[in-house]
Order: sequence, then C-alpha cells, then structure tokens
Amino acid sequence: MAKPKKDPGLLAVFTKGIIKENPVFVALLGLCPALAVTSSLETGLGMGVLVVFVLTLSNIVVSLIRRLIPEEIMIPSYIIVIATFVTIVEMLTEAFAPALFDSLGIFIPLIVANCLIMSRAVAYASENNVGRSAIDGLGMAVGFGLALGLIGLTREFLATGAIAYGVFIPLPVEGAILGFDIAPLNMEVFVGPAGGFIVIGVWLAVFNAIGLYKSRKRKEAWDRWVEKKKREKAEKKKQKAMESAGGSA
Amino acid sequence: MSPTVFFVAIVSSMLVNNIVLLRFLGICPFLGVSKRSETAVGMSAAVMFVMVVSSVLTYLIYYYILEPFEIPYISTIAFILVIASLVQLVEMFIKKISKKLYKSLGIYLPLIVTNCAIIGIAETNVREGYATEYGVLPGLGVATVSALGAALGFALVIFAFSTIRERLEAADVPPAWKGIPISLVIAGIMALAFLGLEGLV
Amino acid sequence: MLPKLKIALILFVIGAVSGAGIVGVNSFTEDIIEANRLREEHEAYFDIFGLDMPEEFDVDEEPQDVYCRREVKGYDADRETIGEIVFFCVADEDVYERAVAYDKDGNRLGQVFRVDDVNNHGEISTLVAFDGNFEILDVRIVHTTNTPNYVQRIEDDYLGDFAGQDIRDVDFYDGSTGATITYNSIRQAVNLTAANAEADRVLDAYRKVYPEADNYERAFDYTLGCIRYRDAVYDIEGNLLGHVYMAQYDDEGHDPIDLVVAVEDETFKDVVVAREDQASETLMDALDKYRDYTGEHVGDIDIAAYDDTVYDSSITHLLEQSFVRCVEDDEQRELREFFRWATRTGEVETIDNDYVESYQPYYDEDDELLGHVYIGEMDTSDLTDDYSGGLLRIKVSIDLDGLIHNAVIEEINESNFANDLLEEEIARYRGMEGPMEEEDVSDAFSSATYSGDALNTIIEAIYAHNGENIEEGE
Repeated sequence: MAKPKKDPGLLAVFTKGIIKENPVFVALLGLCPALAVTSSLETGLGMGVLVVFVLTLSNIVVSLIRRLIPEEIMIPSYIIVIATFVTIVEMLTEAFAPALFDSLGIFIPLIVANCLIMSRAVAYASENNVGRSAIDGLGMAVGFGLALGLIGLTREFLATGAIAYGVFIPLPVEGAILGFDIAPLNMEVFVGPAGGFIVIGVWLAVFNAIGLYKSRKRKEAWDRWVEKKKREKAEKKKQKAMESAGGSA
Repeated sequence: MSPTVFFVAIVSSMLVNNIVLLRFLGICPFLGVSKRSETAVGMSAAVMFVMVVSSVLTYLIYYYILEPFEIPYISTIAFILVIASLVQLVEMFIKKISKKLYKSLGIYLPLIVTNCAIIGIAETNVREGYATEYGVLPGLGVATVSALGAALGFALVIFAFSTIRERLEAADVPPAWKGIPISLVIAGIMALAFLGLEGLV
Repeated sequence: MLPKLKIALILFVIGAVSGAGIVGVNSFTEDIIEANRLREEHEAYFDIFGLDMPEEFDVDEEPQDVYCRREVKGYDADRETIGEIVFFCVADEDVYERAVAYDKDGNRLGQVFRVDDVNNHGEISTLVAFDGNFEILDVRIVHTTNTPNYVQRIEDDYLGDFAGQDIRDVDFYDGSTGATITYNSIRQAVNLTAANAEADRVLDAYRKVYPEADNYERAFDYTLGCIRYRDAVYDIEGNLLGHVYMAQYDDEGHDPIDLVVAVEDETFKDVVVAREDQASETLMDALDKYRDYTGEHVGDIDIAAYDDTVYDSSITHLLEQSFVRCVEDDEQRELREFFRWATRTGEVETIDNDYVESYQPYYDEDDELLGHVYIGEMDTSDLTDDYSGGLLRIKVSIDLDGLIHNAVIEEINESNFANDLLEEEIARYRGMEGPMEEEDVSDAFSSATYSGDALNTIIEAIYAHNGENIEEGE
C-alpha cells in the first residue's frame, strides 16, 4: 500500500481495515485460518482476538524500532518480532483458554506465516508513527476477526441450526442461541472442509455483487451528474448565444 | 519398522489428509498461482523442494536442540527462521548455478516464506509424534516421507485446479462470481471429492 | 566491517529481547498450563461416574509407592467432598493407568483404565470405565492428535455403542467405520481393559479373605488338578499378606465353582467363593461349617467329617488338595526359590575352582533338567590389606539358556550397611543373562565396593563354569 497522500483521520485509519480494505474479503489475505478455524462462530472470533493481539503489538514494536533497523535485515527482524508475539499469545491461550487452544491447534503458531501480519508490518508500521501503526493494526485485525466471525457464524448455523457460546471462549455462561432443528437437512458438510470453501466463495460473491451494485449506482450518479453538467453547459451556451444574439440585435 | 509405514504415511499425507483441501494449508499459493498450469507446476516444484528440506532441518533442530535444552516452546520462532534462511540460501544458490532454473523456480521462492504449508508441515511433523513411535531417527524417515507426500498432494491439487481455472476463463460466469468466488466454490467441490478418500488408510 | 557488526548486534539484541520475553511468559504460564491439564484430565473421571464437577481438586501423590498410587479428591465450592479417584500403575505396560472411583461416602463406583496409543494419525488416549458388574459405563477419548473429523465421527457414531455391554465380552463394530485407524486404537483400549479387568476380578476374590489386598503375584501355576494356582497376596505397600490357593470344583452337571482357600504357615485361615454369581445359599452354608477350623494346623483337620450336602464331598476334596499342596509347597518352597518349576534336585557336585565351590542340577516334574544351582565363595579380606572383610558366600541359579533365575547371599561378613547394599546389588542380577558388563557394576558406594567386586567376580566364575556345563549337556 502506498503512503497516503494526505493524512486521513485516525478513525479512517481504523475503519478502512474493517470495510474498505478488509483483509479477508477484499485483500484475500489469511485465507488459511479463515477456512480452517471457522467451523464455529467462537473459534473464528477467537482466532480474530489472537490476531488482534499479535497484529497490534507487532505493529507497535515494528513502528518503534523502524528507524534502528537497517534495510538488509528488515524482514528477519520483523519475523522475529512477529514470531515472539505469536509464541507469547500461544502460551497465554493455552493457559487461559485451553479449549480454544485445542480447537485452533496448529493454526495458532501458523499466525506467524499469515501474510496479513507481515504485510502490515512492511507496508504500514515501518513507515508510520506508533499511534497510527497501532490503530492500523487494530483496525485490520478487527476486520479480520469480524470476517472470520461472519464465516464461522454462517457455517455453524447452516450445519447445526444454532450458535453456541461459552464453549471455546471462556465466558461466564455457556449455552446456545437460535436452535432450529435442522438435523433432517443433514448439512454437516458446512462444518467440514468443503463447506469452508463454499461459504467463503458465496460471501465473496455477495460482497462482489454489493460492490458491483454500488459502483453501478455510482456510475449512474456520475453519468447523471455529467449529463446535468452537460445540460447546464449547453443551456448556458444557449443562453449566452441568445444573450449575445439579443445584444447584437 | 515395516515399509508399509512409509506407504501409509505417503498415502495419508498426500490424499487422505490432503494439505490444501482438507488441512487448509497453503491456500494463498493455491489461489494465487493457479491461474495457469505452467506457474502451478513451477510453484509445486519449489514447494516440494523447500518442504522436504525444511522438514528434515526443523525435525533435527527440534529433537537435537530444542528438546535437549527443554525449550520446545520456541519452536515457532526457530522454525520460521530456519525456513526463511533456507529459502534465502536456496534462492542465492539457484541463482549461482543455473540462470534457467532460477527463472523458472526462483520467482516462487520469496512467496514460500509466507506459505503456511511449509511451517505447517514442520509443526505437524513434531506434533504427530513420529519420534515417540518409531524413535528419533526412524521417525525422521517417516516425517520426511510425509512431507514429500504432502508436497505431492499440494502439486496434485494445484495442478488439477489450475487446469479447471484455465477452462473457466472461457466460461460465462456471472460478474459477481468471476475470479476468486467461483474458484473457491470449485475448490469446495474438489474437497468434497477428497472426503471420499477418508478411511483409506 | 562496521556496518556488518552493527547488523549482527541489532539482530542479537532483538533475539535476546524476544528470548527473554518468551522465557518470562513461559515461566508464568507453565504452572497454569499444567494445572489446566490436571483439571481437564481429572474432570473426565468425575464426569464418567456422574459425579458433580468439582470446583477444587486435591492431588495427593505418594512418590515412593511401588504402585504409584495417586489420590485425587474433588470438592465443591463449600469444600464438601464430591468424590475420590485413586490412580494406580498397572503391571501391563500397554495400560497407562488404572483408577478406582469412590463417591463422597466412600462407595466404590467402578474403575477406569486409561490406554495411550500412538497410531498412524498421532496420539490417542482413551478412557474405558466399567462398574462392579463389569458393565461398561463409558468409553471416551480424552486426548488425541488424530484427524478431528475422524475423531468426531467415532465419537458421534460408535463410542455410544459400548455403554451397557459386558467388558469381558464386547461386541465391536466390524464394518468400515470410515476412521479405521482411530477405531482400532479404541478397540485395543477396550480389549486391554478387559484383559486387565479380569485380573482385577481375581483380586476382588482375594479381597474377601484379605480386605487390604491390592496386588497379587502368581507364585505357582499347578496346570493340572483341581488346585489351579497359588498366589501371593500383597497390600498396597507391597507387604506380603499371605498365600491363597485358587481351587476349582468342576463336576459334570454343575457350573464350575471357584473357591479361594487361604492357608498361612500350614494353618487354615478361610475359604470363600471367588465369584458372587456362584455364591448360592447352600454353598455358603456348606463353606461356613469349614470355618470352624480357622486357626488349626492343616495336619490336624479331619475334613472328611462332613458329607451331608451336595457340595460337601467336593469341597472336602478341594480343601484336602489345598492342604496337601500347602505342605508340599513348604517342602519345595526352597527348591522353587531357585527354579520356579523345580520338583527335585540331583546330586551335588563339588568342584575344585577358585571361586565356585559346588553345583547341583534341578529337575522339573517330568525329570527335565532345568538348570544348575551354584554355590560360590570368596574371602574379601584377601583382596587388599587395609580392608577387613570376610567370607562372602552366594547361591545362584542359572538355567540352560544362561539366564540367572535367582541369586542370594548365603553368608556375609560386613557391616550392616554394606549388607543392605550388597542385598540390593545381588538383586540386580536376578533375571539377567550372564555377568554384568563392567559399567553396569555399581561403583556408587564405597563401603561395599570390595564386596561388590567380589560378588561380580564370583558370578563371573560361576557363569564361566556354567558355560562348560551347558556345552556338556548338549
């Protein structure tokens, strides 16, 4: 990502990661965990929370040390920083949310290979101050987490007809909401591997369709505006011509 | 240890637990370089090479350095550094020995560091407990064969997928589905097909 | 050069800071992770037996115990006991551990076996629980790295089938489960549990005579006749409680009945029915009459006196046989100390050798040569001037394959401390093939080093001589 031409406000830095530059649905980054740990809403959100920690912290540290690191060792240094936070987050998860740790399994250490984290470190944190980098990391990670949550929600609901809570994320209460009896439909395939691909594919198509619709609307609005301007110009011309004609007359 | 162990390991990691479709590792290159079958083959070759070599290295590091010093918890850092350095070394080496090879393989190498399939297999090898079952050195054999199987599985799936996508270019797809969305749905259908191999070994 | 140094320095600092951070967090989370693991592991046990989930656990380990006994008590929020799980090691190496569950009043609820397996998909730990009637309560996977989809399938579709079945006769699903490797590990866990549960049934029978019984060892397998085994029964600390004879009454037209006859020092102690389902009222009445003899010497008991119930003649016969065996056993006990199957000995051959004094062949009941028992000796005071030892005399049995069956010290002239150490030292030879390699010989203690050396020298000499004997025998 190129350096922003003019400084956008902090709020804009935060929200761009959620919608305009959503890591999963727009940038297609981090699709491995988006497929692998989204068999339920909670695991998806749980992964999101871990990424929030890792991405925000690594962005802060990278931004802090960005002037000290010579270019030759930029990538290895960032890898160490990211891997350190991943390891720390992994240990904390195992200690305080063992169920989440078990269900995310190998995908916790694999956060280290998530292109989202490295790309934010290189493209944003290494060129911006600490505050902006932190907000950028937070926004991107929240966007990532929300995307995973949405995928998880869809898959869990389609497969089980209900949304469980308190199972993987240690909440004070445990239970499930909704709870339609959809067992006869036999849609367990949606928590399986195939369901992951299809659900993400469908959501991408939906967002594409919205995007296309919006751009069509914008184009129409633009066309209308151009039309209007043209008309105005033509009218002005006409008027001028008439005026000049009248003046000369 | 009977040779069937190796056979089972290779079939299991190549088909039954296919790395892309059933374990969701290496999705980025799977979607990124599968537009044409030529690039898919190039990427597969690079992945196969790096995966097997990094598996051996990370396995040895885990059991001969991390375990004896009782610091297995830093395996993530150690593995990613090993893989990153390995990829750098391989890139420089290939550049030196053959311009042709570098042209066909080299461009994929930098992409591999962020390919979670490589570190995923390295982590899997130590998590699967081959060393506890077969002993450290025979376990290395099984781990290497599994890594090879995983890479073959990656190659198989990415090649098949790229040929499908080549055909897809000519198809009349609704605009919202063009590109990645329809590809993901196709990958889902392929995953369904691979589910049929469950219980093979 | 300088920029390169700078780069190296920066990388080093980053690495050091990251390392320190990780080690710090690890030292903080390590204990919590371990506590989590314990809690997770023990919660499953409480859940299986329908106990409430404890708020707090109290783990009491007795490190020195041979059975690695571990008591885990569960308490509710008010520190009221919910139940207790007592873990034991199992002699069968394939079984990870055995646990007995008790409710808050101390009633025995049942047992759980944990079997750890490594299959082609990774590790899998299975709990198999059954109650006092051998009815399976639950089979569940507590830890696994097997493919989650397969594990889920097994859990959803197949584990439920086990509950309610008899552990000794389990009906396995023998079609394709779609997760064959995982299912095979479960099958193995259930089978291992069944095999070990049977052993526990024997123990349950012995507990009727010795309530503290916790383990037993087959002292003799008679193979023929109505008396099947003589077992040595031990308590939880490994103390010998006594010997029991397992007698089987197998008359045509009746179901076989197993009786446990306890005889201590040729004194009749008790006779009980081994299995509850065989304990009919008539049989119990018949047995009761024999209890009058408790405490009498077996030679003084006139057991033919009773003959008025259907069982009496058979019980009389069984007891008679037990008593005969008991007297025989006492005579042969010494023989069997050296070769378990020995029934008679041959002539003692005295030989002229530095350290080997004599040997004696031992035979089993078919007159097959089992091996030789050697007596070897050495004067340790000869070893060096500044050491006041004395005569060391040992007895060693070596079979025809060169395996040392037993080795005991006959005479020793050392300090008490050295005596104990030497007792330990010689125990290490039992079950060994041949003399120890030099590095295996203990050199850890100083006061018995010379005796330890002497011991090894004697056994080496005996072993060399035994080689000649075996060759001759062939």
